[in-house]
Amino acid sequence: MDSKTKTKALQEFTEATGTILNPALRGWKEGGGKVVGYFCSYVPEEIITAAGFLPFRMRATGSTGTELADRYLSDCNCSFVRNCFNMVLSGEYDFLDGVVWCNSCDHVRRVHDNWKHKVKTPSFLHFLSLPKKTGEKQVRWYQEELALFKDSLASHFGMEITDECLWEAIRRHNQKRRLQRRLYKLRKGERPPVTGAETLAVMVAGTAMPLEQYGQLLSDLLSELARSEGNANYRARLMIVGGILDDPSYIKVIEDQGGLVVTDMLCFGSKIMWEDVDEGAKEPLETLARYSIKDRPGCPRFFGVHERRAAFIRDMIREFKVDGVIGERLMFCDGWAYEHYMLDKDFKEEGVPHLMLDREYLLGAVGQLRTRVQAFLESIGR
Amino acid sequence: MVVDSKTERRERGLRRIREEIDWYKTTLKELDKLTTDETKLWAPLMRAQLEQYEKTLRCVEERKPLLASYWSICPEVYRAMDIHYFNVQGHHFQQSQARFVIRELEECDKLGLARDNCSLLRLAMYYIASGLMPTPTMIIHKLEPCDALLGLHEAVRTHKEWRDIPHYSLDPPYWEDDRTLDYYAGEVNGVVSFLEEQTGKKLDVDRLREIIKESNKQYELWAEYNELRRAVPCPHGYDLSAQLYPMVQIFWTGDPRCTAWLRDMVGDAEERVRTKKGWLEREKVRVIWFDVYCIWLRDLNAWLEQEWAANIVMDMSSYCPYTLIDTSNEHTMFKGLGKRTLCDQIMVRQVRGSADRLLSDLQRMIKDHKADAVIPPTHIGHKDQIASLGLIREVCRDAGVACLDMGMVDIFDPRYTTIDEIKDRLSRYLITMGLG
Ligand code: SF4
Ligand code: SF4
Repeated sequence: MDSKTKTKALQEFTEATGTILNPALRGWKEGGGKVVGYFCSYVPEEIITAAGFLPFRMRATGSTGTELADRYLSDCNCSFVRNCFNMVLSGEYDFLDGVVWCNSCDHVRRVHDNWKHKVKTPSFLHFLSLPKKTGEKQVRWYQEELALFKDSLASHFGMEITDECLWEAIRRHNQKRRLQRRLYKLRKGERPPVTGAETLAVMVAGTAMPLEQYGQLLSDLLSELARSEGNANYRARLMIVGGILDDPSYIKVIEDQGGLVVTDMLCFGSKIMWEDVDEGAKEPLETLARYSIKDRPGCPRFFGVHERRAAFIRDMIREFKVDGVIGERLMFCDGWAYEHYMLDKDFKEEGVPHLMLDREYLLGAVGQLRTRVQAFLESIGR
Repeated sequence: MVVDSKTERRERGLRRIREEIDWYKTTLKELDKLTTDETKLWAPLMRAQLEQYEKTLRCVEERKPLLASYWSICPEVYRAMDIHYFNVQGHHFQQSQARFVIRELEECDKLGLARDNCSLLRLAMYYIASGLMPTPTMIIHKLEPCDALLGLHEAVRTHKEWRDIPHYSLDPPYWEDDRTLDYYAGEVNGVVSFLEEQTGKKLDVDRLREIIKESNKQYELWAEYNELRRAVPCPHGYDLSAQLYPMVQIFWTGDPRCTAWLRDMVGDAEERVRTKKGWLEREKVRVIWFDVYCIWLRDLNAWLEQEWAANIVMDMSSYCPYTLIDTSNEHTMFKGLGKRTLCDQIMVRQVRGSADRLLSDLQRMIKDHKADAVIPPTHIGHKDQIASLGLIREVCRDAGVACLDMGMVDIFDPRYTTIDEIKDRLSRYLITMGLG
């Protein structure tokens, strides 16, 4: 299933998603710009932008194996982490000027240790202690962590990051979020003008391109899509729920079976843009901390927020007229294992058709995926 | 697994506890008939575990407050407030339980929880879902050291049979600095407020001080005992030494009976060191088991001792250089309890934050305990440790000791890699490394 609108913007987004060092990023580097990689969406891009740098969300797109990483990690670590660290060891991330982590999960946390011991460059490596509870006390703790991050970034690169710069960055990232939400809203109708795979490409590109360029392209795309007649040729409207899915071709396999993905709750999807960072708050770091701890739907690495996440999914199902939910999880990911276990119970109780899929980071076992999706679509009568 | 009425659930939980009690009573009777030095050291342990079950049973039968908690969250506070607790992860992991494990793992597979997740936690979930675990009146969750434990907590909290039970959780930061310890002391304070609110009892700070003073003595004795294990040959076998942790941190925290038992352990070890009477007749290999105790370790340990004259001289659970707590005022006590819980405690110490602690502990263990070989952690559930395997191997290489890789295992599910496969693999390593 392909959208009828094949625009230049979509092509650029797809290109940015299909490689690590994409043309826009290359252009930024050639112009003397700095790039700071980050490992999880709880590292606020805004602070990196406020420093004048380009935030890049770490991926392993294009990875061809894990031979180098396997010396340090194990087969039972998540394949995103293994492929990603392999790319680091093979030098494909040499363009980074800094890397930032938070304790998002055990696997990623240890990539930091392995990087520190075995890679040693770039010289700016920073770790944020992200709380696991979501109260006011934790907002204050994380605000302090963000202040430490901001200060160490500024001192390492010999600059000042003022509150004005931070507010400006918050505004610009909110603007990006607003554009992304407009794209999602177009998918609410009976004839969504864009597929789930295309949407994911747009979202992933948003973590790998200069903001201005991205915003311009996305605005162009939105104008074109507004004129498009949309897609009515689908068997069912689906929602995808999970973690670090950054490969549009995975969604394409699902959509090729006739299920149109109309919304999601993913690391590269609605989870990072459904809410804005509050611009009316007093302190920029306080508002960024609050956004991570309280305002977003909250990932399974937090305690006490399952109901909030489930409510978010329920709202999405209603708003986007979803017929069935597909949960995806990378094998060996414990956080999402429990989340899917809980969601499975919720969905059963509420009568929501759902399919839980375990997968590897690099697309494989496509035949099996097709069969399971087909069976799922049939089971929901489509 | 159909879970029926509340009464039936309650009965199911009690039935299992009663079975446990019977098992311990019979074992103790047998043990009491034997009067070797070793059985004398085992008896208090059995008694402590029996007592644990009896107290749990009483709480449920008499509908008294019963706390479900996790490994070592300030047990001193629970004791000072006279609140009985059982360990959600450990409840199904007492020695007596091994006989049920396979059957229950098979049932547990039907739960729908991913099998690449730690089986200890999957089993805990199964116990709750099937009603085999007693229903507590309050819960304290511990959000460390791993993703899976946090996931379990969330699943427990939202489980339909447990979701209305009042709960409190402690938020563990990544760091170990002063700012962290102050923050975490606040989390420990939260434990007290929660328990006071739930039970109507008030914490008596002087009583807490007494308990901490006693547990400080226990930690000192534990450290002394660990030092004696440095001796060549090592005075005791691993089975016995692995019991220090549950005695000090779960069963008899701050209880003078535990202190007395530790004194006996130290005394016995000292005497053996003095007379050069090693646990093994001819100790040939000194091994570090760089993980926590596990379901099939008794079997593996017996084989290591008999076939290879190998003694596990130190492990991750026992190597916790606990900081003694300054009892001068409330603040120092809470900060100290926080440090014990966050930075010193088994697993959490090496697993929660950066890998530096994990690696430096291993270096120290190898050196202090004169190890010849390390069995590194390859448990499928310990995702952070298996992501440190390369670094662990380097530590072993630099120290010139063998790293005996078991291949991927599940330390709580003997079906994942059979004990025979593990033995086979270790044998090949031991021979190749010239340790046979
Ligand atoms: S699932 Fe959430 S916590 Fe995990 S990597 Fe994605 S954004 Fe981070
Ligand atoms: S998929 Fe799970 S294990 Fe892998 S990086 Fe994301 S949160 Fe961590």
